[in-house]
Amino acid sequence: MSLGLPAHLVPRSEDSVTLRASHAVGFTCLVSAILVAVGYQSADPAGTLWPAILAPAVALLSLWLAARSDTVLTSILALAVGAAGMGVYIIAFSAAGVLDHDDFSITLPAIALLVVGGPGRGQLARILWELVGYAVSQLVIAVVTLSTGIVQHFDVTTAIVLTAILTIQLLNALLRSPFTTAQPRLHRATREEQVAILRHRIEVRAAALMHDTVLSHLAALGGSTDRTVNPQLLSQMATDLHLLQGEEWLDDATMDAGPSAGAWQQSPLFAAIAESRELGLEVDVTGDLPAVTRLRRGTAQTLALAVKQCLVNVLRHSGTSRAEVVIYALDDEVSVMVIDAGRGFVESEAATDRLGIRQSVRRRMESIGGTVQVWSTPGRGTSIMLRVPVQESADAVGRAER
Amino acid sequence: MKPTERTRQQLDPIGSTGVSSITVVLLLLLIVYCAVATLAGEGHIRFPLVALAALLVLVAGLVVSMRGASPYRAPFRQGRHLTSLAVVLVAAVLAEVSTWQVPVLGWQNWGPVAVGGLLLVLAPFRPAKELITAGIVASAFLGFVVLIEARDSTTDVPAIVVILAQVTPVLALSLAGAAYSHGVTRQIVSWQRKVAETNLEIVDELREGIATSVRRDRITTLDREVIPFFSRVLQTGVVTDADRARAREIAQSIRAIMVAEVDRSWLEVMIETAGGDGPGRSGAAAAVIHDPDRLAAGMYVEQRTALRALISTLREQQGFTRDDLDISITADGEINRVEVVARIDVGAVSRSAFVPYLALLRSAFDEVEMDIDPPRLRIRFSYEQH
Repeated sequence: MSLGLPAHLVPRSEDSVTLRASHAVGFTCLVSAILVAVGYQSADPAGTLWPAILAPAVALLSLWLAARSDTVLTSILALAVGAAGMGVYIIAFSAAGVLDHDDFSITLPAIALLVVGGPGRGQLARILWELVGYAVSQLVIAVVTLSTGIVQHFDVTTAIVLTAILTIQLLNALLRSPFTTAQPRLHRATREEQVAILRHRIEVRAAALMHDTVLSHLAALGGSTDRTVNPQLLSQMATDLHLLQGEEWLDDATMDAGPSAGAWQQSPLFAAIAESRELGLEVDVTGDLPAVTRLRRGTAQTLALAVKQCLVNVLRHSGTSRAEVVIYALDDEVSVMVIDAGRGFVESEAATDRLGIRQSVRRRMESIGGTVQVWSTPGRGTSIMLRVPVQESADAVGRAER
Repeated sequence: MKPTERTRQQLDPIGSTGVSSITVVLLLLLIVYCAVATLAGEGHIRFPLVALAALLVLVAGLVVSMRGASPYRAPFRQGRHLTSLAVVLVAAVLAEVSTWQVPVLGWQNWGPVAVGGLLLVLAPFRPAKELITAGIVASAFLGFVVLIEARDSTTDVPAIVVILAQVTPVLALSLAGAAYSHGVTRQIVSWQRKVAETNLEIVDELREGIATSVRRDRITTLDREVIPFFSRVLQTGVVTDADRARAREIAQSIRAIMVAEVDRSWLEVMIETAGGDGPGRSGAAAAVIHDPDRLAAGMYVEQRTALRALISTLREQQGFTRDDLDISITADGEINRVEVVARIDVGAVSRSAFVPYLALLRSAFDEVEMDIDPPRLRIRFSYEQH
């Protein structure tokens, strides 16, 4: 999905994310401040720089607290602790005689004060907190200058960092994506796509059912030679008519039900094979029979209908009345092979019945993320391999669509 | 279709179209800063020509990123990032060389800021992990350069402080970039998940209605011919030759309808239900879509959604109907090429109105191109067969 946040949620999202980013700058500066003090201390072991190591460490802790809880109290605490730490840092560095040649180190705790931030939504709140942080940092410099006589020149770096932060915020507000209608339209398109996928699934099912029932009976009637209709066909026609006019035959919810319970004898595949036997086909079933019970109910039903159609095809077109069904199981897949030694066919040439394999078997299997392979040689029989994943993934369904 | 990376631009191509101008302005400001810093630190410069070269190389490196930020070139890939970063690193080294062994420990030391600034500005385009890794590698490299410089230095500043001055801006800014990239993508992904869940719920509610409408379509077909015929056969239990012929005839017509329905692609269904003044429902798709090899079926959900959004936008332009639209899909080896031609009132619609859809198409398809030749808007793109 390529869908972004709706326009009304963007400012809030930007707010929280940019605050997080500026906290990352603050943390890095404070860690660096500690390491700088450690560096000077190790260069001059006689100097008293431990307060300059400790102060940023405490400031780091208070900044972390402010970043976590985002309340006025923790923000003020972080500003106060950061300001005190910055004072200690400058005084310790000044006492150690470092300040004359280092414009970099002093700015580290000052930058950390800029990025404390605080509660309150919107650009204005963010800018106010940053200005407060900047004012506090400059106040610390002024107080240190006045009380200790240490002369500080204007802190250019911190001013530049403040300008940069404010500029980024301003640009973000001014140049935010102007395309407010595109996002909702994409949102709607994702939903339409879902609906189309569902509708397609239901249509595939409806088409397959129509094929198995109405078209099958019409073919039987059209090809019959007796004047009286076979009573079995009549009763099947009556049942199917009732089914087609009823409400349940397209109940898609059954597709999503959990794994089908019960042993092999209760499986839809067992029932499908039994029905084919009633039609006069001899079917040998071998292989890992209980494996089909690992399939979800909807998947198992669809697989059974596809196998049934393969068996009906054997009876109708192969010229033999014997078929073999072999079930193979892998960890993530169940495959069923339907084999006959009949006259065989060439799939692309089977135009008159092109819906049979394509609609009742292939489409059906695709709708549950499965695949179909057909090996058939005229005169030597046909093998059809139907494979289904044990856990049907939503993605597989999506890709199997038209 | 290349896999989506966890970047704001790729997860939210539409929302990221505004970011490109911010990126360009920020990178221009970065250049200005570096130039001002060079001038202000003039006193430290030992090799002015190298300082100038540093600025020129910097501009070259940042231009690579500026060009990549354009929505017309989306998405911004790793190769472009690394190229741009490598050039800017060269600029930073040149800047350092220009003041070789003269300690510059303040804002005039622009090299690390340029490298870190680039990584920050790329936050909407590259994943957090990549930004952090780039930041660490780049800072280690710059730290190593000043370590060599500091070996023979005579200043009072300890080497570790000089290295930290070099490393801190790169790390701070790249971490900020990574925090932004991570935070933004997390919010987008969680929003998308929420939308997907809501979509599922809504679709679930529609399920029954859809099933009913599909059933109604079928029943209409059945009611007309099949049910009266079956009822009669069921009643009498007898088939005559006329009945057999009738059975074959009905089977033929049902099969024809089913074949037509099964063959319809999602795109045809979409166009058919779109409404317009041209041919009726069944002929509409044929008039608009030229897809003789049925290639529309090969698009992924993501690609179909993008095309859906584009077509629905076109349809919402004033006076536009599906009759003003032509879509053709042709195979070219392993690649399928799509061309969408729309006749729109270009006076009312500017090219920029289609920028978000272009970005969206770019995220789903390859070789996306758009040109406007009034009143024709032509968009071309391709996707791999799978």
